[in-house]
Amino acid sequence: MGYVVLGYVVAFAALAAYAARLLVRGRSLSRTLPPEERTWR
Amino acid sequence: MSAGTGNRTTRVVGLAALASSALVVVLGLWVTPPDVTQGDLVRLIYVHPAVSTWAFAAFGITALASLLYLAPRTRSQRWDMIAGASAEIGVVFCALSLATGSIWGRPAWGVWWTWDARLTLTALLCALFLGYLALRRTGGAIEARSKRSAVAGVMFALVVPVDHYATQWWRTLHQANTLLRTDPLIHGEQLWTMLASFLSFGLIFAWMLIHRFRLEQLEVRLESEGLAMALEARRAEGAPQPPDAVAAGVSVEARP
Amino acid sequence: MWRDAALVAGKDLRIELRSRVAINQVAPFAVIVLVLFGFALEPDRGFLTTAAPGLFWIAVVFCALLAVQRSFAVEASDSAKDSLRMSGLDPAGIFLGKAGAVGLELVALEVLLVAGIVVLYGTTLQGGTLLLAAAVAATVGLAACGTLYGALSAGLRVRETLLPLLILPVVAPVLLGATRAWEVALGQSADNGWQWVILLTVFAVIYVTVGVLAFGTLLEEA
Repeated sequence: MGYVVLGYVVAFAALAAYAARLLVRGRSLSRTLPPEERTWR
Repeated sequence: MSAGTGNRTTRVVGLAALASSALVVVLGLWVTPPDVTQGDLVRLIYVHPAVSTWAFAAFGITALASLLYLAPRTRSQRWDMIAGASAEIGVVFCALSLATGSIWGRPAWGVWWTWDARLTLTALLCALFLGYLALRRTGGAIEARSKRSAVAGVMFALVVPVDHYATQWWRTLHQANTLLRTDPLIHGEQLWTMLASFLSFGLIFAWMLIHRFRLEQLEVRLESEGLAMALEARRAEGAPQPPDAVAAGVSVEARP
Repeated sequence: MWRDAALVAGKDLRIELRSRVAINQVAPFAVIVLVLFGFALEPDRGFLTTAAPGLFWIAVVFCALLAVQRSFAVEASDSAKDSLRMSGLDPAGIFLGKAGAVGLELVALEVLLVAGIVVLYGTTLQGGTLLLAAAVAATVGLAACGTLYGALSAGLRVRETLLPLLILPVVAPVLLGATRAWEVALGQSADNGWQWVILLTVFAVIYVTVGVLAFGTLLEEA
């Protein structure tokens, strides 16, 4: 069962970390560019 | 207003992803019964196959987007950006697939790695993806880079079926014991939970793809901006400038 | 197209004969690789003989890498690439020519390597047809594939490290297939060797086709 939990933890932790990296990078890049560049608002 | 790559769509998708993931975790770890043959280990069936499938899907998206970029009628920078975004997420999912497969294998067969057909194929896929991403970072003219990457993307896609058969024939002809991931007849709660896991990881994938795509748009914009500014600075250097104006990066007479 | 191919192949081979890079550097490299395998692995004759097909094809893949690097290095000097593009030669022909030259060099190296494994690993050659068929299919695939990716990374500053990263995973099925086919041919395994030859042929056909179709695009963007 320990391995199972390890599997779940590894999977979701890795995804969360990557997601966080995406959000942080997105925020920092948007700051350097004018708002008109963002076509998704 | 929050600056970033999010908007209402991503928030909706994100919330759905979180909710469904939570559901899968609860179902997977508690509600569903342990398997007759595999015991509690079967619970990883609610993580590994879905992650693996979406890794391959990401690859397919990259290949398709590359093709669309190359076709003259549909050529657009968007496709190249989607290809790149999908590839990066694909690497993440691929690596996870290998990790979870490995974690599954350890208690089941006592080893961290078996040269199982599908696991090997996934490893190959990961390597291909990494090469593709390295190619994308080679810098230079954006359009040339996009074209290079797109050609590579299509070529990789063509080799995947060959890889599939190669690994399949390799391991089925030599191994006496059965392959791990022949899912036993799953039914009832196990089936529903597994389907739910495909959905939740799909939502996670979609959310990531949208964000990464927008990030790519920003990065490309920044790159061309940087290029434009460098060009301006170079032009400004040509004409005689007061030193402080040059330092401020402002070109006075050199505007064409 | 074929005329242009012969022209380009002839040019590449002539450059090779004059500079003797393959003879002086790649060939010794190939033999050294075989020897190093002997050092790294159990020199017990039995084991090396069993591993011979695999080790052979790994050595061939490494040689292919070098041959491809060389093939495009000669173009990089004096911006030969641009003159190649503007020469009016059919890009498909250029592709076939370059790939052909690489392929021929590989064949020569393979002959050398076969001698190597016979001497160093105690391999007894047999199963000629299968052996040859697999080798031809594999070599064509390696040459075509290598030339394509070589063109992709030509002119990039990180070319030397990028090319292996791109090519090696892609030629994995060739390594797999060629090794398995040779194991059958050499009597080390009771498998369907011709099945692997088909796989190798499919791979080769795919890459030759893509090369003929796409080489023009690759040459375009400087």
